[in-house]
Amino acid sequence: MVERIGGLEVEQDLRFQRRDWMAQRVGWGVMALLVIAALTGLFGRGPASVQHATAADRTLRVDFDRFVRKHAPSALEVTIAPAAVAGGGAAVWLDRRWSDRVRVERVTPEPERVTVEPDRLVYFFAARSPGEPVRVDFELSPERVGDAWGRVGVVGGAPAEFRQFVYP
Amino acid sequence: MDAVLRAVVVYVVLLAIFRVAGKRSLSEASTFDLVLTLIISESIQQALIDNDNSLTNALLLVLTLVGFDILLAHVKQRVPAVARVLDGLPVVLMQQGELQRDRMRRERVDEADLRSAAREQHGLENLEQVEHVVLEDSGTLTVIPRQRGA
Repeated sequence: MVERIGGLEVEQDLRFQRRDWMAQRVGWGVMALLVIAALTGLFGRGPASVQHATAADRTLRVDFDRFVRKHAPSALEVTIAPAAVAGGGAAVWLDRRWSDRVRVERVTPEPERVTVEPDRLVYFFAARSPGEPVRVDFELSPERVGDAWGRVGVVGGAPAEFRQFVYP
Repeated sequence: MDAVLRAVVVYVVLLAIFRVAGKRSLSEASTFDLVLTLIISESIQQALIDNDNSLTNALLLVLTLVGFDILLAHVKQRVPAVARVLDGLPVVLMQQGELQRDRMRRERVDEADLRSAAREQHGLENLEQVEHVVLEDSGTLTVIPRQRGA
């Protein structure tokens, strides 16, 4: 609809414009909510995203990111109880249903060897623990989008279960 | 498949964000607008490419973006209501010598912007020499000078 103002012909429509301005304000509200959600870590890397899970027999605790993004760096920090370190080593297993969805970039410290089993990967570390917990870090990067349930545990111990959501 | 999906999602989300941001954002009215445009383009690039540097990926992305653009252009032509929602409409910020301050405020345009446009486009010295100013849907200000002898 062409409006005429003096000699000027212009496609102004103030009724539409008022609704447009209102829609913009709603849009700004949505943007603000998204930014706040991001700041709290809902989209990864923030306070809401840092969580931990402990095995039922307390042999192991895992600190993980509840929200991660595809191809972005993430980490699994596994703390092994001193009781679970025996015979000069500690063995940690990772559920393959989860580990198949991520790429493990680096394990600190380097494991002595890794054994592949049908449903899990077992990492063997040389370890000595005079009464202190021992920590192992898995640096990884998720390869698949969506919900992922993971389990990690000490060989012979109860699993610690965790859940992650991977954003695209 | 994911190249097409990524391209469409990026297109739609960017379109929505820029429409919500208002006409004056990214109209390159200030030097920083240009910087912002560059930064946005860099941010999006990595996500679109997603570690796939193949020729196929690049061409699929371009194909999808241009194709989707053409599709929307057709829809806009056939359904004017869609064109209005996607592109917006011009707003008259000054009519017959009178400033429309409420509209200026809502569109975040001030008198200095009007004077600047009047100087740039017609070499006018002040707003008394201006008849109309229209904020186009693209975000640029167009100045219609007062006719001499009017």
